[in-house]
Amino acid sequence: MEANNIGCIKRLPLPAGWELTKEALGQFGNSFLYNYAPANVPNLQLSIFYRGMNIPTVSGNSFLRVLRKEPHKLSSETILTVTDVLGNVGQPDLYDLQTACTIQLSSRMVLDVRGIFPEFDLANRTVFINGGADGCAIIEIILSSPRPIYAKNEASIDECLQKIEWAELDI
Amino acid sequence: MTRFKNFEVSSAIKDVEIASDWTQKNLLAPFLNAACVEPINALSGAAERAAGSHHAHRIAKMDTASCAQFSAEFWSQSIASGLGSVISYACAGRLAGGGLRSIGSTLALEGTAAKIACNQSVAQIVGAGIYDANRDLQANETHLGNGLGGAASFGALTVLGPGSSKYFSAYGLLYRGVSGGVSTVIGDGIAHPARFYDKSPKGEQVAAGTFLSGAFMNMLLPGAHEGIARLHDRASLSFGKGIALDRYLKVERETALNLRPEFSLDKIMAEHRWTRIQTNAETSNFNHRKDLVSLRSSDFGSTGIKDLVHELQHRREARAGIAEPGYLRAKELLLKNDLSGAWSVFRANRMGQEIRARLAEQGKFGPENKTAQIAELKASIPKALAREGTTYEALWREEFLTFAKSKGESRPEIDYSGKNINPELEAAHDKLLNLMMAKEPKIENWLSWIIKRSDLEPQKVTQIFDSMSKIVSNKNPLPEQMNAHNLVRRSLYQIFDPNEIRQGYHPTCSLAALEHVTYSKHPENAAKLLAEVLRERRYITKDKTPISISELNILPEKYWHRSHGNQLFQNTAANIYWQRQPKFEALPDGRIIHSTPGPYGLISYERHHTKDLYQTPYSLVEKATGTQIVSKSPDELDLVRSPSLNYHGINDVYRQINGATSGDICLPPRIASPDEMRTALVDRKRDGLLPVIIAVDTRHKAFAPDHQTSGSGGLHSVVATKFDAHENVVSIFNPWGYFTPKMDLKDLWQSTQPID
Repeated sequence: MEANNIGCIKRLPLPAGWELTKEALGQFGNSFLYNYAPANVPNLQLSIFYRGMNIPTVSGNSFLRVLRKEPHKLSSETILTVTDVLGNVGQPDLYDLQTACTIQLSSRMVLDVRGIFPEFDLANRTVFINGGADGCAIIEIILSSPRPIYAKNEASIDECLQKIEWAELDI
Repeated sequence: MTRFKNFEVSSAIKDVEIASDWTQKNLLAPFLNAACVEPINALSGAAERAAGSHHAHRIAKMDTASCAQFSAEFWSQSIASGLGSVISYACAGRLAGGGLRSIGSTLALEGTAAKIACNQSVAQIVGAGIYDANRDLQANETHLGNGLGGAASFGALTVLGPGSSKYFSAYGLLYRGVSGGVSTVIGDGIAHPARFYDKSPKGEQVAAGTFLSGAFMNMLLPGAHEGIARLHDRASLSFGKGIALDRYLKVERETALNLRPEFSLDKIMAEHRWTRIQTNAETSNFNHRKDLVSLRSSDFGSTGIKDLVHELQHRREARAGIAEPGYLRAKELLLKNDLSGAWSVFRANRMGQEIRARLAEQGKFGPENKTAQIAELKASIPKALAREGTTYEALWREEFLTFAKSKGESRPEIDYSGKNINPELEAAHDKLLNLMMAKEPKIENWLSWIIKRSDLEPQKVTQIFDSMSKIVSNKNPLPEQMNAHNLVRRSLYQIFDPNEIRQGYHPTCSLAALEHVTYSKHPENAAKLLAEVLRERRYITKDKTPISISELNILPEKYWHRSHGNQLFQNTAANIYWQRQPKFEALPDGRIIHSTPGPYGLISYERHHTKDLYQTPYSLVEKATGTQIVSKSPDELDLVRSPSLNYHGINDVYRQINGATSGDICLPPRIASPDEMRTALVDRKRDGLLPVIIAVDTRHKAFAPDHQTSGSGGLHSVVATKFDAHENVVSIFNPWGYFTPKMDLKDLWQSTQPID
């Protein structure tokens, strides 16, 4: 199973047994949401999500500044500059943010955030991708599940992410 | 018998004719001669003499009857003539008074000279002298003699006359009569010295007649003066010219002394004698150029006297040029291109003026610790309203702009003493301020921003503040998780700037657009909706349908990126539509078919508990069972998550919130061409019907500029807030936020066209 041609993602391989469980387009703005899950593991889900509307230019610029640097861990101050990029995971009252760092996935710099939604006791990893040229269109790859399940599946998802292929930017 | 009757009738008619003739010659003619004919001829003569003309254009005096001494005719003619003279002399006195005041004001006289110029007795002497000097001459008269006689007559009256406090007593009237008679005879004697020696019966009769006329005139003159003065005051106030300070203080003196005995009105009068007071003004202020103090109240009251003293302090400073060194410093910096430094000096200068005026308001009763108070004033004045809708800070910026444009030459013309809001609005403002202050220390700014929205009438602002007060009421506080204070603050901000409204991660674009239009045109109704839903868990529509709102719908969302106010409004709007619809079927393509006619109130738009943070937690449900309604898609049984309101539905909900007369707020779908859209926008702009909601397809390039994210999207609602017909540019509110503030008309039209 793989996810193909979703925004700037040309191809994302998924572990065996995973399948597309939901596709919701244009719920709000130009949003899209693709949910994938293994048939035999309930409560484990990987989503590719675009929130349908751009973030402010000033926040987009901050995101670009962060992505232009070598891979690094973001300081608390820097995290505050990309709050709009982070959406729900940027809100301390909703999300216990454990780490936020930039990494390279197939030569493209992305922002990788890990933490927990305490209200639902969900472990979460969200990869934020610059979906356009100006840093304002944020595409998210979201892995979330209850903590024990998450721990078991984290490595296999990470392997898939390392194999991601990108669409050519044609702007 | 018949002949006898005819005789009686003709005799009666003859009697009436005789009586009428007697009245005309002994009452009407002498009255009109003194009141009208003589003054008009005097004016005409004065004008001709001034112009060097020898043509005598005169109105002939009306005939009076000859009369024997102390006959009925003598008495009536003397009295009527005295009554008529009251009018002419009172007018002459008022005119002379006005002239003397103008001279005094122009020359800025002070001290005794100023007092004389303002004195009504002096004005009356001068007026009578001028009037008599210009009257047509009789035998053995000269203009100089007549003028001196008139002036002497009123001079004697000033010496002899009783005070006005005794005017209405019998003694006072008698004394006035006698002194008036004596004074008039003296004046007449000065004008006609020969009459002193004329002991003939005719001479005695003239003297007696003069005495009698003077007596009656003097008894009525003070009343006539006051009457004319009041008419004059009214006229001046209606024309915005203001009334003399002494006239204002005369009327309000007692109130002022009772309210603030520490103020010395005599001192105020001495210092500010020439300023004029305009009451019932829109705002209290002092206009330097016109030397006019405008007061928002008509009487002193506690506000009036405070404002008066405040404005007079501004006047004192303006006359002394206290602020001028500051302006010169600011000018110097301006000319050195130090705009920021110039603004700092200018602002400090204006701030100083305002602080001193506010300290002056307190008179002797100001606090002892003036340093602390000044610090407090420095913090509060810039945020306070100078006039309706404008804070001092904003006003000073406006003034500085003019100052900078004139290269430091212009000076602020008007000083304001504070906000002008009506009593109901003031009460609503204060109530909300008190309720919010503890948790939102900066709330006064937010309130002032709402007042600042120039398109909102005070009545609407009052209703907004009242509704917001209900939300944060102490009597029955909302649960803490509602965070009522935060809701009020953010809602006030969105009322100030409706462009801050968002749909968040919900398919509620049309409802957010509807919310934007309501916040723009009827924010008082939006505020009422919020208060009603939060307090009552229901909303009554204009067609009297109760719309119930569930507890979960009201609890603030956390994950879906819109404000609590937006959540409440959009949920309620969706329910206003669906709770007034019969059952329906949802088709695979998203269309809704009302195929099941039946009773209304079976469907509602409800929130559900969910862990899915990337989908809206709302859907349509069958109200009775709570069963979620699903679409009939063969591939996917998805919940009907969108409120799915069409063009008619949005207009209907808008009318249910804002009333039937509020009109339509959507452009009809399928507009044929850009020209047709242009005509529609021009018409709506002309009729005051902007903003208007427009349906677009977001797959068009204008809404999906970045191909990396395109491919999704579909129908969407935006709001055309303004239209520049010259440039063909439309200002757009997009409920997504942060997007496309302006669009070319053609691009917008293109975006309305179907893609599939």
